[in-house]
Amino acid sequence: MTRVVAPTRARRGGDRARAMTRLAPLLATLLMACTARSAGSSRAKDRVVVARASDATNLDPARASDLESLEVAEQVFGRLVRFAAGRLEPEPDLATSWSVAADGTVWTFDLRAGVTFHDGTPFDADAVVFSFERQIVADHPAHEPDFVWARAYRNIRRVVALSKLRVQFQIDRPYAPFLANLAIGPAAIVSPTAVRRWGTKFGRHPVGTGPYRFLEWIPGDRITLERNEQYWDQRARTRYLVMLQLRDGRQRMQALESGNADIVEQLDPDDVPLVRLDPDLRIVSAPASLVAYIALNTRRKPFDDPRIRRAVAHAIRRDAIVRFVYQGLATTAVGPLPPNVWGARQDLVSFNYDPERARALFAEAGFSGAASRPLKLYIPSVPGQYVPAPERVATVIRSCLEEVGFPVEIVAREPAELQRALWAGEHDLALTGWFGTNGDPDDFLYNLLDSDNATGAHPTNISFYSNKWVHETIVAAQRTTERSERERLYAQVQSVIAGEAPWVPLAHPMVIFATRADIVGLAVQPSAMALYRGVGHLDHE
Amino acid sequence: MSEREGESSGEVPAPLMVSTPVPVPVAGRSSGSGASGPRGSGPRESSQGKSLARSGLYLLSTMLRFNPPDNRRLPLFRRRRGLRWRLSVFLIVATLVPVVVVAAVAATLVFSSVEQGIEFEAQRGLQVARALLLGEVHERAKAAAALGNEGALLSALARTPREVRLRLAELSERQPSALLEVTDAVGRVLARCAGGTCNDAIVSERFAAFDPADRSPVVRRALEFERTISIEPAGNWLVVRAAFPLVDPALRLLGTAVVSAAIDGPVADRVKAELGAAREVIFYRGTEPSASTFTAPTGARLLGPPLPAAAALATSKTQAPVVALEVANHAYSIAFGPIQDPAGRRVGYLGVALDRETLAAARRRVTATLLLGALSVLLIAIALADVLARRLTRPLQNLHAGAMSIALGNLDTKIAVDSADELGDVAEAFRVMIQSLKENQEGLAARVRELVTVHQIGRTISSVVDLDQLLRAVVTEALTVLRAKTVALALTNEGAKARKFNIRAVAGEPVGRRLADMAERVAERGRAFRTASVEGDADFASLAASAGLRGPLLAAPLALKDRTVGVLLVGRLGEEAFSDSDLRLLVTLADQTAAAIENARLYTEVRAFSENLEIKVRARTAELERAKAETERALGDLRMAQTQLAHSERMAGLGQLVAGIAHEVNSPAAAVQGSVDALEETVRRLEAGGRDLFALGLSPGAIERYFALIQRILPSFSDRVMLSPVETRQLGRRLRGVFAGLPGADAAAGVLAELGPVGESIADELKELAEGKSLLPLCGYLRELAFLVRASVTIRTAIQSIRRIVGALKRYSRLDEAPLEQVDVHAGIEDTLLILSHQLKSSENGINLRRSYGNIPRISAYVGELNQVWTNLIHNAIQALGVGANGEILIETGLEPGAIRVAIQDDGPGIPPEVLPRIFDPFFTTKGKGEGTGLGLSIASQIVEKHGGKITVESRPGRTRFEVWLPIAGRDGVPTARAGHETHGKISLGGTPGQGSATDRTSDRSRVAADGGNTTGKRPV
Repeated sequence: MTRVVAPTRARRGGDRARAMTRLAPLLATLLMACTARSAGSSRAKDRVVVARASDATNLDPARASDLESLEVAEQVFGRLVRFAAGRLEPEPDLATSWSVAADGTVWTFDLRAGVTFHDGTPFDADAVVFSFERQIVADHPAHEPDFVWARAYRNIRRVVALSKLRVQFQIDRPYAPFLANLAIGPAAIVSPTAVRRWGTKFGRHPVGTGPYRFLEWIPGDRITLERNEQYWDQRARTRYLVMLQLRDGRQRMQALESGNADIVEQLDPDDVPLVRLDPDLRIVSAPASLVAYIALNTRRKPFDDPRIRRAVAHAIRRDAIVRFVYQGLATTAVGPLPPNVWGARQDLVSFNYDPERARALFAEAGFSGAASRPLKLYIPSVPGQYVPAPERVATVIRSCLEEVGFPVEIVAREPAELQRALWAGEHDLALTGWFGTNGDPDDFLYNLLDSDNATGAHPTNISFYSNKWVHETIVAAQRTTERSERERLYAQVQSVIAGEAPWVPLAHPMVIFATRADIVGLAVQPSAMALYRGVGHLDHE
Repeated sequence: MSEREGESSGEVPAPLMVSTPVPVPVAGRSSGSGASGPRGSGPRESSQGKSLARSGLYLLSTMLRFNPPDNRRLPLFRRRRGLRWRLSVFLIVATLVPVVVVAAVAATLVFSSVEQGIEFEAQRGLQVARALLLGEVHERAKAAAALGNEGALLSALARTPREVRLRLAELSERQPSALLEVTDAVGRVLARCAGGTCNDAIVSERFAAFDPADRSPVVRRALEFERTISIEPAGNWLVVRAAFPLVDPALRLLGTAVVSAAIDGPVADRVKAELGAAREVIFYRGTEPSASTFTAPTGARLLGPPLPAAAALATSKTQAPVVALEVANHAYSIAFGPIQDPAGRRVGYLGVALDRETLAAARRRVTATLLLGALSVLLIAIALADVLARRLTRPLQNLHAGAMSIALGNLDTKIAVDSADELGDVAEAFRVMIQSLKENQEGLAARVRELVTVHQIGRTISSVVDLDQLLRAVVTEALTVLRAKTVALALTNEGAKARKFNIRAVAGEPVGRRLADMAERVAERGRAFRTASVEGDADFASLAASAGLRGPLLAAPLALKDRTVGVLLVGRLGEEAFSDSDLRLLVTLADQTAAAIENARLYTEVRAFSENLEIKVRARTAELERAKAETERALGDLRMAQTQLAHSERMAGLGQLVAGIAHEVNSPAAAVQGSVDALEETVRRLEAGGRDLFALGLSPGAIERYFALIQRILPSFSDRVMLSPVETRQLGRRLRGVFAGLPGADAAAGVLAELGPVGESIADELKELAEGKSLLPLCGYLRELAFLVRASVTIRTAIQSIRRIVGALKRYSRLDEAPLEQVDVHAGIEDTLLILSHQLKSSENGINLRRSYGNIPRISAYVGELNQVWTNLIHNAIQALGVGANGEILIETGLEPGAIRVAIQDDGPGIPPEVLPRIFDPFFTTKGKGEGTGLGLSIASQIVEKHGGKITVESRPGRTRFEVWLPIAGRDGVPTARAGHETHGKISLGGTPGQGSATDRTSDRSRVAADGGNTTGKRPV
């Protein structure tokens, strides 16, 4: 009986085993597919990956001048005041309140209690003093000569810690944009402990009080930030923020389409129609505080003559350029101020496309293109924030000007080299732009058109435009804290500048991001940077 | 096999133990142990077993096995399920449920993961397919852009449409599947080419469904320089349309280039090729299938399945829906995703299908395996369950039989279980239980009797509140209930120091009366006890003997909480001994008695207490009335003292005032005195001068002119211009020049110079009328006259000053007698300042007084009292500034709604904040002892309150400001009838800020007045 039964059991078991063997690979694959999928989705949900064309250069806010670096610093550092989401209006950040003395030169800030830097150093008035002194005091132990923003704070005479949570700034004259300047990147409050520890390498190990803390930087590849769980305000929605560098626009789009990236910054206008056709993707755009313009070097002939400058403005088909190059993602500029900056005038005298008028003005000024040397138009050799297709624009400008008998030679340069050439004033015309960091009209008018900034080694007024009345009015407006009075002064300045035409204003581009459809909370600032604090996946908390 | 064993089991005496047939080895062992089952099972079981065994349905027999006792009484269909049956079922279920659950869960998991895997694959495929489709779209866009950058085309465009067509035909050869079109700068189509030809007939036939480009919005946007891509429905298909503006180098618009291509079968094939095997692609135009890679068995291309509703409803935010559909008799899982145009409108759908055959196969295999497994487990479980059930239930059945017998009342039943396991223990326990059951039955009956008795006694004694009556009831009851011969109840003697018992009640034989000492002994023992013979108890023998007590004794202390209030003694005098139940009865009786005694005692106390209370209340009331009279008298005294103090403050103020006045009056009086003294001398010199003048012997004409001269210049003497000594000497020299040559010229010039400019003005006239005689007498007389006039002026001024002071004093001092009148506050302040001017000027104070008077009306007030307010406040300010300080006092008046405000402010050191709240308190002073009464500000405050106003103070170093607010109408006046008065009335004018009592009254009255005037919104009817 036993002999009979045992083989039966064995056979039956064997059958089952064989069935299992046959089933096993199937089960295994399915199980793997299943877990891989859930793991994949959960991994994706606790991080937001941002694809950018360029990597950051330096994460020390005192050194960072490129958008990519500043944007990372924006997430890592806190400032005394910060710009409210979507507006360039300062609101409390590390300072809870502030006051300014009647004479406008003493600003006192009360600081937020209980805040610590990511490395555990407590935030206090000494940290504020340290953060500014290292930029403005030349013999400060942590001062470096390549701090690019020292200029922005040169009017600060002293920074004094009145108590543990109260700090005072003494500035050398009343200066209206002062508060707004404390909200921009370099005003970040750095951890003194970390700066002392890392010295010049602080830019690779940034430590601040922001919503994200720095985790890792693989240069040329990615920067990873992790949520600061101790952030004093609403903590970030997503645990990890990854800034991925993908140089090629097509690559960025593929990463986005496949879900390997959640957000693509500074979308190529050519990709916009494709994004619109993909139901999984979304366009997020915001008017930027940006101006793209053609600077005419007023220090050199023939642009020292305003008539010739006006003639150039009449000769260029500006509307067509804006529509063709920016593909509807910019507005045509009439003056230096973007429409979303307060005080911007839209009713300025504008030089419409009129080649006959241009020729007449040339004749009136006694200028003959044939006799003239070809004028040098400097352009960046790579697409950028201001002009997505600089060579195309340059070609159009050349064609337009040559039509009115004005020979032009295009000089394309790498951005850094272009910057040096413009500082040196080698150009006759330059295709360039400016992004407003602090939302104040002064940022545009003073930096770009005031005679103060037409001198020195690093002039920002690269048309070298100089007008005594304009200078005095701009400075007067700086000393005025009354908004309406400043608006009045700036209105006058804008109309004088428009008439004198040191520029041909081109466009105010929008900032365009593309995101996956499940990404929420993306706030693109007019400063072209994004606030990643509230960004996350729709169904992930 | 089972058949044979079944038959053999039919013959064994224990038919219940029929062996189980499967599984074989286990069943064999089981049947062996089953055969060694209990001996002597009843014949009922046997017959049962036989009948079932005969039935041959083994499984059924297991389930239908009945309990033997019930078997006899119940019809078959209502038979109770036996323990063994239940045990079997339970074991089978317990084995099967986990197996089935695990199998089901495993199957569900496997199916769902297979399903999910397929869904996931389909969704991924969809994602890839969409990317590929967008890639196609991108290709078209690039093609359009290429056309836009085609130099030859652009130059052709600048020439003729024919050249454009030629050029475009060439270019179209490179893109055989696409339609290429070029429009001019206003959007008219210039050329339409495909596959190398621009022949309209051919092109229109191939792309019949396509509208010409000039009707497409992409062209309109391209004319605005925009590079556009769109997916549009056209005919039966979706069409990709890319347009590109054609511009010259200066960005002049020449036209547009449009590339269109259908999303058709070949596109689907290309996508499918990229996706991999076993996947199909479907495109929908709107919700209609337009192209797919499905093929019919004949090889013809199929359109694809219709779009399921779930796909059309899904939103892009959620995962793409996956639907199982059958196409060409083949099951597919298809993921659907929308295709949208640039504006986000859905123009169609994309589907990616996955063959479900693999899934179906896996499902079949899994189901088969699981079913087979479950079935084997079921069989094993049934076999095992039966064996186990059999072994477990046999002793239980015996036990059950015994228990049933006992339950029927037969307590002598023996239970035939002797196994050495838990069941044996249970049987043993049963035996013990039956034994004690018997005993308990008997005890219970006795206890019930006791309880009835106790209940009766309790009811009797608890209804009695009179103590003696109660005690009598207790002993009587005890005697009866306990069938005793004597009962004594002793209570402690309250009040006595040592614990002493008195016999309070006795029943039966009188022997109880002498048992007090024994009670004491019982109380010491502290618990109830019984003794069969009191003589045998060492504690009580002698006492009992002396009382004549013998035989059995019951004693119980009456315990109340923690103390013993008495003792109950019960004796039978040598008869039957007391039992334990008697003792219990006594204890219960004792407890109830103790409680009842306490009740009685409390009742007595409560009655006594309530009688006491009334007396006490009367006494207390009388006391309170005395105290009230006392308080009233003290209050009267206090008021008198206050009045006296106010009076003395006023006197003190008067003293200061008199000092000031004395000084003020003293200065002009001294001036008068001095002038009067000089006057005598002057009159004497005038008389002498007159004599000299007469002696001069002037002509009558000259004398007349001289006195006319005097008459003219006399008034100017009173406002003489004072010359300095140097000027006087210079004037003298000039006059000497004028008078040169005349007799007495030098002396006369000196005298005349003393008269100042007046003297010079008359010098020539004098010289002339002197007629050569000496000028000295003329001038001397003039000088004396001048002195006289000046002295009289001085006196008049001084007297005026005195009159002014006296007048001020008079006005000021109309303290009490003055009636309520319309008062000029400014005048009152000025009077006060005048009176205090002594202090303001004196003692190097250098106080700077600043007035800032507003335009204020007269107010209704007591002038004298108000003046006292100003005096106190100004005086306070002066004192605050201290001696030697260069202080400033500001007096400011102003009109407020319904009131005037007088502020007196100084820049002294201020009032310390801790002092500030108390400054209006009477007798509060910061000055040294004897310097101030501390009543000044208090009185000021009282006066202001009396006027219905308020006084406020704010102080910090360098600024102390008192503000007095006085209602214009006065406290009792009728408010001025002004619009909005009531709102103004909200300003607190009350004495205490915040209470606003005066205000409220005022506005109440104003409302009353308004109502009386019928003006408050009530229209006259």
